[in-house]
Amino acid sequence: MQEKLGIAIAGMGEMGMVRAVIAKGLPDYELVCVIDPRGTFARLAGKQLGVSHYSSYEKAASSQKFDALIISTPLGSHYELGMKAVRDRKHVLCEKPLAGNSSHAIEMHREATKYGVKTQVGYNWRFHVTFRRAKEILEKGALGELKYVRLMVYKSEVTKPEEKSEKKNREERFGFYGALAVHGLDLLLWFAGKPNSLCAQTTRVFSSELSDLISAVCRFDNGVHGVIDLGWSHHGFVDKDDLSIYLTGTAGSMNVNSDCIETYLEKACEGLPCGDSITYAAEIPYHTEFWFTHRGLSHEMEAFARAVLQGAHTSPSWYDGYLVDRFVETLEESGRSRKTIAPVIEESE
Amino acid sequence: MKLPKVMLGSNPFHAVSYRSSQERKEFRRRFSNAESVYRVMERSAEGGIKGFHSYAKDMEIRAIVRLREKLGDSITVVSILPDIYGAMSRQTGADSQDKNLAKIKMLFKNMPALMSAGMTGNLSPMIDSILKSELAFIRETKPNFILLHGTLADIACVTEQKKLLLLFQDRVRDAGAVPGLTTHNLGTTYRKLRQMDVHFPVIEAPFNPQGFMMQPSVEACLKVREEASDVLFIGKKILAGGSGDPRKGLVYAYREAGVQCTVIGIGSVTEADETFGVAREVLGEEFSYEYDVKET
Repeated sequence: MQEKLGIAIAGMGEMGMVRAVIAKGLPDYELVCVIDPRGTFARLAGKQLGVSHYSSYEKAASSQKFDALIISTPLGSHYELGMKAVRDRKHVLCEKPLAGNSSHAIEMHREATKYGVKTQVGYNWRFHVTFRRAKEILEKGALGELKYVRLMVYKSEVTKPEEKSEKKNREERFGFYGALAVHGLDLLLWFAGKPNSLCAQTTRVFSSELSDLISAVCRFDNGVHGVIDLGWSHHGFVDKDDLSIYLTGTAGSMNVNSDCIETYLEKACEGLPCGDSITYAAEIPYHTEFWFTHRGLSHEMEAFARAVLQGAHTSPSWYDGYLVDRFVETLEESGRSRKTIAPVIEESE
Repeated sequence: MKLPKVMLGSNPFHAVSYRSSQERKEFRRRFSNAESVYRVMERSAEGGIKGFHSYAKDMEIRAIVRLREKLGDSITVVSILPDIYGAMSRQTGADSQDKNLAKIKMLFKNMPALMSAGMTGNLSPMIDSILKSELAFIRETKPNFILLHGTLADIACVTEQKKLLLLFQDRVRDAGAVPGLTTHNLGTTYRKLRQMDVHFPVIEAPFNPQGFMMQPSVEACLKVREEASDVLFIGKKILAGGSGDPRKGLVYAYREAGVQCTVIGIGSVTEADETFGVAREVLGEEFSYEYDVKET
């Protein structure tokens, strides 16, 4: 069996550098080269990481042998770069959001399926200890039959009018959705399943293209319903991204954020007591060969390497990336039309 | 240089909590001025604590300087450098809310070093520039030990930046202090240091009964602690980010993991009395012990 996954990383901005450092620290990876059209960034990263650097994917692919590509470039290039890589039979881990456009996203997923490569999208909160543990608790049936879910994502990112260039930059990055909300929406779909219908209210406080404040009521395929409350124009959320999910079922309820999991269970289950309990992130075992930042990035990259090297299933896959992109479109469409919408969801295959 | 057995940490002073956003808010409110930081330091000193950790943050520095004025050379100051974001705002003097202006000023200020880094791929001049300004910023505290910040130490080790690690050591020695490093990845970091033939006499790493942040595994961290007989270990996160019992954490760190020293972040004078009281009970006469570190 192949022992190491040879990778190239495209985009040497902050996220690309973080990925590169983690790859250097994890034994499953061999960083082959880095790619960035900005010569200075590519040269600096290549030199610091001790690998070759290229100005384009094509130049890297024709000069170096690597199994997989990590796409850490701006959103606008995910589709083109992702399609090229899968057609070259490269496995691909792409940062979130997958395409910011569901038509492109499903096309990317289908092309990857056609070429038989593994794909993953960078929804790394799924690998954060508390959310991962919460998913296990839910799947063990500790809450009974899930009935209701509430997602809250608050941030104080855009709380005053900003310069035109900053606005443009935000729009290119998919606004609040791209900054954080898609992480929460991915978790929501992971916990509750595919959306069946939703009715959203959206407000553009300071942005011109996408919403700054979003609220919605939503129903999912399995009968679960819930509330979505998102915004980056809330004041006073300065120390951390505030992202939490509350779930209630026929046998208990659970509130989870990046610090802890609070549960109330009608009967003991999964090591959790009957009644109230709180489990802090620090109490949940998390071990990795190289830990870097709290959000589960190391485990996310370990999972991708394992999927490729051992043929395991990838999650979140590009299909999951498509679902989030489609969900965002539906929220915006419903907010604009002020109508309840049943989103058309393409099947995976 | 003397390295005390038990030291006061500083995470609560800059609102770090692993428990909740409410606790982070409470720390921000409680430690909104140097006086409140000083009160916890002073009470800890009254309880027999001789070692004080400090980030290069204004309030902590003012509190430590005041403590130095009162207690002189009887205390040991352990600084963690660099605080990149702090260094940026100090270099630019910008309003921290105006991130774009801060970035532009920072770029302008470091233009020669940045141009050099961009053309050659060599980051050393830029890191050196940040280090020098940070060392000047903390000079008044007369630090005895200066540890390389965990995130930077981890990056430097896995990317095998031997030159940067040696540069850090040189600058720290020039400042009259003993160099060390903190890490969140003891197993990997120590292996890389050995491969690069770089030695730090002091290493600070997580040790707690829960195994919180002991990477890649509890066993690997304990093995490094056992093997590295030429290193003094400072156990951090011994209360597992505030979710562990102090007595269990202290017993584990000193008796099971066998670290020489520990550092504990304290959020109030009451907590200082309680936690350091437990440390005194656990350690007995050892509580006041200080290791003599020759390397300067």
